[in-house]
Amino acid sequence: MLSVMTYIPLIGAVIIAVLPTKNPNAFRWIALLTTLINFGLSLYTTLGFNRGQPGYQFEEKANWIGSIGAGYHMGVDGVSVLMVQLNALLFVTAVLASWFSIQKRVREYFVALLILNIGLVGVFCALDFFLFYIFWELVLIPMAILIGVWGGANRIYAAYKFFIYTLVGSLLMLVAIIALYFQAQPLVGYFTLDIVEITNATAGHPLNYTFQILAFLAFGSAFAIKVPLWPFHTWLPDAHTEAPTAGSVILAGTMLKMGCYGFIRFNLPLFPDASKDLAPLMIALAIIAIIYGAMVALVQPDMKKLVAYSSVSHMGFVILGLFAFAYGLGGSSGTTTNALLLHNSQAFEGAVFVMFAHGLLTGGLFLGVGVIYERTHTRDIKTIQNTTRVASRMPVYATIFLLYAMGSIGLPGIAGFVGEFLVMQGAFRVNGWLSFATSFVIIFAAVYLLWMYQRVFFGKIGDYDPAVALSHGAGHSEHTPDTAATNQSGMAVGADNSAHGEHGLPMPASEKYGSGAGPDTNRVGTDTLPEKGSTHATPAAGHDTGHNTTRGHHTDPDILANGAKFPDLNLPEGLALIPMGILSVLVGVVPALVLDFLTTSGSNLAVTMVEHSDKVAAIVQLVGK
Amino acid sequence: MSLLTHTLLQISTVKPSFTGDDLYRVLPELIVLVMAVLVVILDLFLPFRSRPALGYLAILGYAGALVAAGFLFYYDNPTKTSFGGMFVRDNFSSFFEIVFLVSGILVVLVTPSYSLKRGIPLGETYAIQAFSVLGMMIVAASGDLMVIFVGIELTSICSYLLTGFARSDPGSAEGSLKYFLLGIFATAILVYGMAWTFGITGSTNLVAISQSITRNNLSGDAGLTLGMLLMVVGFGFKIAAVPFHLWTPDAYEGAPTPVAAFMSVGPKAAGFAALLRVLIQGLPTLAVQWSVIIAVLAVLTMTLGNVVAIAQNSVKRMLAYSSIAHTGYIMVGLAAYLNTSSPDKQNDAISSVLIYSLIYVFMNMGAFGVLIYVQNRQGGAEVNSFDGLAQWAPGIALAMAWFMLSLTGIPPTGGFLGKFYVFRAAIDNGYTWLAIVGVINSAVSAFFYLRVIYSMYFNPIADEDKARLQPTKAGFIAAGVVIASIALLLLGIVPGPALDLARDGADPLIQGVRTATGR
Repeated sequence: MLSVMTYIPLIGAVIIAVLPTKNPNAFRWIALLTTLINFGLSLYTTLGFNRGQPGYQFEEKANWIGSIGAGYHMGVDGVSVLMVQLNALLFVTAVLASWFSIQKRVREYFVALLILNIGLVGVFCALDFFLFYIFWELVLIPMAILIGVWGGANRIYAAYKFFIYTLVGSLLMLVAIIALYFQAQPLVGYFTLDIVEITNATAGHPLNYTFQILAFLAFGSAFAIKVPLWPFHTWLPDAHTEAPTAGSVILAGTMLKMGCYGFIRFNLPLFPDASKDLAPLMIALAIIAIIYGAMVALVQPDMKKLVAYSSVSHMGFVILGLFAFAYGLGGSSGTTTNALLLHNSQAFEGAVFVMFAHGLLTGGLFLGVGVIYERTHTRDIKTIQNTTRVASRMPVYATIFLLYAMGSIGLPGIAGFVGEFLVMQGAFRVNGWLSFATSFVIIFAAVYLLWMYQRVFFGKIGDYDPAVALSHGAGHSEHTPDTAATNQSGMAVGADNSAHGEHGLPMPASEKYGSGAGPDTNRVGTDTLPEKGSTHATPAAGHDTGHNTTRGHHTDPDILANGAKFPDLNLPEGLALIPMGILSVLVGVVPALVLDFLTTSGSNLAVTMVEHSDKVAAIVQLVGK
Repeated sequence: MSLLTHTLLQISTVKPSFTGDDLYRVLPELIVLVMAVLVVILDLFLPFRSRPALGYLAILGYAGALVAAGFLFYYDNPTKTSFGGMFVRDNFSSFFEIVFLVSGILVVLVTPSYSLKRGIPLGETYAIQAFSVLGMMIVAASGDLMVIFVGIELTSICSYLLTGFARSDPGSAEGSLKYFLLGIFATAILVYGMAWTFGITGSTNLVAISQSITRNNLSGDAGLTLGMLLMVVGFGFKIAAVPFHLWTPDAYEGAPTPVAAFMSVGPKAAGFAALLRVLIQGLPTLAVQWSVIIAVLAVLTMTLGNVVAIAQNSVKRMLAYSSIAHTGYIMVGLAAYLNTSSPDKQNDAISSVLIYSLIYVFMNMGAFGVLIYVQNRQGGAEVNSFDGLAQWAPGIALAMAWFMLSLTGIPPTGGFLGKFYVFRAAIDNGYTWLAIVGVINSAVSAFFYLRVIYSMYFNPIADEDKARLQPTKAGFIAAGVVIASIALLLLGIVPGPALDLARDGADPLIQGVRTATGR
């Protein structure tokens, strides 16, 4: 089942690659179908998953490379099944989000996207180090290509930075994997790269402490770069800003989770003593990430960068939760007290919940930014604020975006709240001040997201500033002879204009052309919605145009031209945004839907960590509790 | 001189035994020799137009030798010596022969379109390549320093010739001359080292050398160490290890591209075969010393190769430096051979060298094949000649991307498996720091390999360049590129058989050391 799920995108990619047609719609439909099948299969897996049973399910095992002990081993536990499910959902969303926004090299785009899908499913299912590493690196190439080909202006720099940064981390992990392979050999009895066998074998025979620390750091550097944890985060804002919308959604939604997942799957169970002893360090980095991400998000002028930095902040919560959990388990001190044995399962469950919720909410935010970018071709908050009042033109979109923003802030009732609450509760058990610091940050989250929302969706308070409008209007004085004609077209539009009628300022030429067939290059740029592109010349479009030009607010003629056509969500966008919004509310109201998957995994992990840290007494205590 | 006469005397005292068995064991070599001679003769008599057909004969010869080597590998694999211990037929020699023959076939595939376009005589090229391959095969199968020397020289002289083959091109002559001068210098050092070794141990036979060292407890002998050092320097020139690499970029740049492709894989692998034979079979008790030297050289080689490659604008020169870097990776595997008591760990080290050599043949030959294709159509070898390759030759571009990723070491390519195996051997034998240097270097190498991919996929081709694109017959190159790509895919996804092959190939050396030193 898992293999079928992993390789179905490959079939889709091959079909798209060899299809003898130039019709981009064919590629879109095949990609959508593939991701939908993938989603269906993962839904089947999720529903069929026995939540009370410890260990891995849906396992598949086969011999592969005998001479180095690498096998083909797939399987999911509670954490990975959630991630696979989230991933499948986000890929359907990503295909929908690229439906109209990707117009060049559509074939290659969907091939890259589907190969990315293989890698991401594989990473969460692989239970063999060799296999895991292959999938881990497989993710890298298509993502770099997505950024580098379909990205923004500075895409090459971002793609390079992304690639090199993650490659360095992965290679350090590779060294650690090989070292672990030799360290585990005496414990297992033979050479194997099987994750489950190595994890089981180290139970009761903890790895050498120095080795644990070194391996923790090597694995940790790969994962911390991927998460990304402060100070390894600098690739993230660049990658996000330049990536196409779908790329950002996948990047935030599942790729960042690869790092968190790596901590859960490898660092905590394999190196429990190091995890415990390095927990203060990791917690400190997490707190810095939470605060730093939020502070930097406050001052971002670019919507996508703002959301990207908010991601840094949110991922800090995940790491905080995980290491608040680790803090209470294992350890090299040799003494086992009740205080040490917090069995802080809230922290763990909260961390994984944040991972899930962040995937939904930040994915949604990126989609939302993509929607507005499609229409205005800018993500600059100030420009949008000065030129467009999104809320009045796109009410549906504004509503759903508010839902995601609120969820991301942590409004109770939406997914974001549950995870952060649990993490803070867990952190409180380690140290009350940690919770204090992090809860403080939620205020920042409210500030940056609500402020952004207000500026983008409601425009400038105080409405119309004649000075600004005039100074910009002066730049177009050569067009004044056109005024009469423009006004005529405005009159023809009818009564809809009456609200703004008093701002009878000269319209810039571009707007006038906009209502016609339009030689203006800006108009051409907006033709990313092909089914509507043909309507430019029709009277209906002219009507639309006239209606939407809230004259006088527009200071930037470029935006004005784009603002001339400002439809609400189209079908693919709606299909992408609305179900995810509903799901995030559902999960927020009934968190047990997700938490049920985690209880067994959490206590399993706790037992493993304690076992591995060579404290038999601790197990007794833990089981007794 | 006295050394030579002495050896000659020694040889002449051995009862000449040209039995059928001896000939049977050199069957692959004989096939290649006959093919090479046939090519030379036919080249004289065939009309000019039909000389390219000699390529088929060359491929046929290599394929026949490949079958013979494979047969000997599988059905007649216990170690046997011929010609009085001069020639050794074991799995090690068979494995390397397979590597050389594969590189021979690939180079024949990529040669014709380039040479025909530039008026480089084809028949002679094939013949000299075949003699070069023969020299490499002799190196791999030698049991005696003298035979190694003969083989290395046969290969080197062919390489000097091939480098200068583009007679109208001054760069080619310059590269050839530099290569020749530095090469004979290195050869002199190599012979000097062999002479020292012979002087201390009293034999040129590798097994006899190691027995003599054990028997007379010579492993601390300064003269022997000097001999070892001189030989490492000599072979270091042949494999282009830093700081003995200075000839490489100029020779590669000047040489016709197919020749550069050939030199970057064949003679290099032969150099490693010789190093393995000499250091492991001849001087196993000195492993503690030479392992450290090789490790230090490996660090220098990897780092310099990768760092300088970043600054190159010509893909040909970039590949030259990248081949230096890959020499460094292979040396990591060689350094990992520390004379521990565990034959398994020794096997890890040796087999990592073998498997990396095999994988490297495919990825480098493939990359050079694409470079030749681009040179044929675009004229230049600069990075920007690759601009928009994905548009005007999507299949070739995809293959190039695959080779570049493989050279970087990204899974699931064969290159990843090679690096994995080499670093695994290093970590296994206590060289974790070396493995870390290696992976950092891999990350550095991503810069320049990605630049080619970037140029192919992200840069559009300039319109005037597009208009100037020349037609080319790409059938053979395409065949070579496809073979290399598929081989890399298989080596990356189902490497089991190849790894077993390499482990079998490494076994005879370990067995030999055990019987010779009694450990």
